[in-house]
Amino acid sequence: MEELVGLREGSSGNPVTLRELFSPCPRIRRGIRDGLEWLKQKLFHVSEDWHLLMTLGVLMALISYAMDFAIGRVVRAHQWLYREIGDSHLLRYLSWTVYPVALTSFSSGFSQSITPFSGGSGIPELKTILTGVVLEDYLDIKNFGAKVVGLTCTLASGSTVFLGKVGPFVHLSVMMAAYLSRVRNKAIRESENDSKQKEMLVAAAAVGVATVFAAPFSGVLFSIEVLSSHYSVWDYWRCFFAATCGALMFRLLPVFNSEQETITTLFKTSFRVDVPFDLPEIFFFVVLGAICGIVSCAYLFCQRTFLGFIRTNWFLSKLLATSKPMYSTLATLILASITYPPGVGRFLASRLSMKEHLDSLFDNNSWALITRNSSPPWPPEPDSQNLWFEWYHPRFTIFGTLAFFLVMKFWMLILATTIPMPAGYFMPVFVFGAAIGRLWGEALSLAFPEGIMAGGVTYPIIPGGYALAGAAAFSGAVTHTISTAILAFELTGQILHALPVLMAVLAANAIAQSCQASFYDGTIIVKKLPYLPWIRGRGIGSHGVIVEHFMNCTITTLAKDMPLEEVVKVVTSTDVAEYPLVESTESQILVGVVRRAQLMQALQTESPSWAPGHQQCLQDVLAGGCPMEPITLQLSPETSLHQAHKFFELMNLQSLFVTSRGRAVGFVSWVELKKAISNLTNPPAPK
Amino acid sequence: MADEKTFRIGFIVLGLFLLALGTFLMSHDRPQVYGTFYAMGGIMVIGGVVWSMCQCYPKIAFVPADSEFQGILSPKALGLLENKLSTEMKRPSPQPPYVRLWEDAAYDQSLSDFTHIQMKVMHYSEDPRPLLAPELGQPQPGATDGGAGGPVDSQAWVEAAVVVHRGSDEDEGERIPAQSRSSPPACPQGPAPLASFQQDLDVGSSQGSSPNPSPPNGEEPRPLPPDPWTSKCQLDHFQDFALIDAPTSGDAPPEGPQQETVLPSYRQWYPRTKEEEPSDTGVEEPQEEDDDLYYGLPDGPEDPFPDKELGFEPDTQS
Repeated sequence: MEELVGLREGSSGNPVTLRELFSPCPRIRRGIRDGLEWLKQKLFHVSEDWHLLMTLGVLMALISYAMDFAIGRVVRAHQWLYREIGDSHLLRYLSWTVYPVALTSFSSGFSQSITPFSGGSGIPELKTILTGVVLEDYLDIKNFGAKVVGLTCTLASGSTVFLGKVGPFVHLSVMMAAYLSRVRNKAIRESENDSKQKEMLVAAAAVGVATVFAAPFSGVLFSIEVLSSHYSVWDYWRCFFAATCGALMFRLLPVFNSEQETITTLFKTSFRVDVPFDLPEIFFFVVLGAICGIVSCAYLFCQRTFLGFIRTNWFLSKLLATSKPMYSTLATLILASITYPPGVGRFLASRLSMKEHLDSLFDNNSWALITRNSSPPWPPEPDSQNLWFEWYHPRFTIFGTLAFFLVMKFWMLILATTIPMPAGYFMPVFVFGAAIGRLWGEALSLAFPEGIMAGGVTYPIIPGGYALAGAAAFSGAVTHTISTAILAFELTGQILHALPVLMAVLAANAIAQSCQASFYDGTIIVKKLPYLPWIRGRGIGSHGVIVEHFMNCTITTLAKDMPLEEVVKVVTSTDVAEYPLVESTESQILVGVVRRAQLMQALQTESPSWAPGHQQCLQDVLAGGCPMEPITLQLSPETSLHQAHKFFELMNLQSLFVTSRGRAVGFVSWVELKKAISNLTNPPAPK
Repeated sequence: MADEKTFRIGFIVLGLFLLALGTFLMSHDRPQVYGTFYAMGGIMVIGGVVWSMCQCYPKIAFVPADSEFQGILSPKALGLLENKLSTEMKRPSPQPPYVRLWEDAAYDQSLSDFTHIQMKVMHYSEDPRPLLAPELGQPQPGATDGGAGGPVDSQAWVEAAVVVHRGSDEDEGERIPAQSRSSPPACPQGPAPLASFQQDLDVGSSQGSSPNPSPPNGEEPRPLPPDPWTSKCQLDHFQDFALIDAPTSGDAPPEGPQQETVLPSYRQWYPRTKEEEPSDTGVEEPQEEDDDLYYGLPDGPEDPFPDKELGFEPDTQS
């Protein structure tokens, strides 16, 4: 905004704005302003933004901790209520179900009322944003509050709804990073720099994951794997710096709050250290990985099918369109009724929270062996020393409980992922995988009671290690990432199982990546977000495909010497967003790009200053004020598909013109690339 | 400054959040913890509140006073005007030239060449709208030297609005929005509809203003390089500071009725221009991409266009 400047009569010096002339205490104001200028120079120096990264990390850690704190209080209140309500079945059922129902319907209603973008995970949309597509208002700061409140309410429903925190938290931190970079641009009066902002967003994604689990390594790697197709090493130290600041702050806060003495891991395990596993167990770990891969394929397929069914079914889509809280209420009612502890929930260990689930599944005892002879009781409250008693039922034993848990949580989790509220879908998948691993480990431990190696010293099998491997493998297969292995280690501090867990994760990924799209890619497909897919089927044939084969040859060019009537005819008869501008109609040498909106505005200004006898052509309109954008990148018809695809991905392009010896001959955008890629994988039937 | 407002609010909210967190982290054997949180939170809240309060300073609006307004422009003048507008938009001004105090308007420079200016001090709220109306024509016949043009100017100013309004009903009215649109193409892609509205206001005003033909504007040294011109402008400001104290009284009453007359006409005119444009071209451009690239959310609200190149289109989302 430009301002008037002036001087008091009789005073000398620089003219100051009129605002300052008439405002009180000019000297104090000047002093404050100079001080702020100095501070601004120190803080917002053009090339350094490490303090911004640090601020981002610390802020997100504070928010994450505050959310955990609030959730903990709400959950404690719910447990108190459930305990104190008495013995009447109806009252207990009501207290068990009304709580999560109210919380989820409030969460979905509140967040949807503020913005429709607040539902779901947020990672698929972030993935599209980082490829260069602009989703309007997705990173607006006003979604921040909605998503925080919604996420807190979702998580306060606990393991009844069985959802996590990662996805929306990554979205929150990316929103905060966009906001901080706007502050920075405003302070140093710099216009928006796309590449700098993208660096901030990538670092913010790492911070988001890192502050949820207090795990910087897996935070950075997970965000790289899930969100980027190409990653520049320049961003590496920034991501680590921000993630470490966040993780450190997140671990310091419980110490400040006197909850812990020092910085420790989130889930304590006590696996045997000297020989954590026997050598032949590696084979069983790999088999576990394969099992997790197969189950993850089934899960992904069912989840995508159900999501599509929800959208196409008449009644459900109508319900979702008119009243989202109603849908959340119904879904949560179903889930809460099933997890009611005196009922079916007894077999699902439903009194445990998500964290307690993981704690119990990573237990270092072998339940099968312990329960072979004795039968532990079912305590009225979950025993914090022996959480695994929740998993035991006298008739069904732990195998029945675990199997039932797996079967029921499979479809319950799929149902919960369709509820339109901010929720993360990584943690439940992690817990599900841990249950698979635990079941497999218990079965092995029952099959080999003395350990595998016979003779000599025997090392009994620890099913907890298998639970760890299963968690990492299943979640890695669902999200198509390897860094969940590192997450497992950072969560438990258990790096001794590094190799078998990594092999399990690789096996699971190998199966899952060849069969199904990942969880987030599947959401992109279902939501029809714009996204450039990878080139699959890198067979021999794919290297022969060149741009000439798939480019769009029907382009309408505007020549500089085209008469205006023809220009108007062309513009009104086609509706592309931008027109290639060529030098002349014969030569067709590409010189620039004209945007349709600006061209139309310029055409409408019939300037009377043109000489009447002169045939008006496009050149005059351009000179008269319609800006022409120069061509910075072009393709050639001989460029191969792989090169073009890599070009598009690296430079975050949406479309390019194809020129041959300067002449504009075609146009390539995502549409043509996608068609070419799909023709590669599913070759059309030869005519 | 919608951005600054969010920054101020965010600052205060962050301070409150730190205070709340400090309250929860209260532990008696570690007073430095909650002390730090309280201190930081308190500083941020107080700083944010003080910053917000400092935003409510009185703003000053300049009103173009007199006969420098052109009559109905000759085509040549209009063309020159257009060129001027386009060149003005294109070149970056080295110093803050004389402009009106509203946001985001690369303002019509031709109106700024006034030797006599009138100023009105009024209280400013965050909304720039109230600035629009009161700027129009404060008739102060006695206050300025070019007084002959004063009341006529204000009258003409109001008439300008009316002329524009009526003009848009006829075919001739297309000229006006058409001409005004010469400036936006050269402008950076800001909030396009709002920008064109304000420039329509400016060009309309300059057209329909006082019938005195404007020799100063005609002999306005357009061939001169811009810098001397703007510095000449600023010298003009300094000369006229004696006039600052003059027009402060008696300005409020004439504002009122003019506000009502002016604003509704703009509002009626503004949506019409937006409808005119597609009818002009005769082709609606829905700009729908293929289904693959369509950003689809399952329900109700319309899907915004994901491609940033298309994001500029006004009113095409349907």
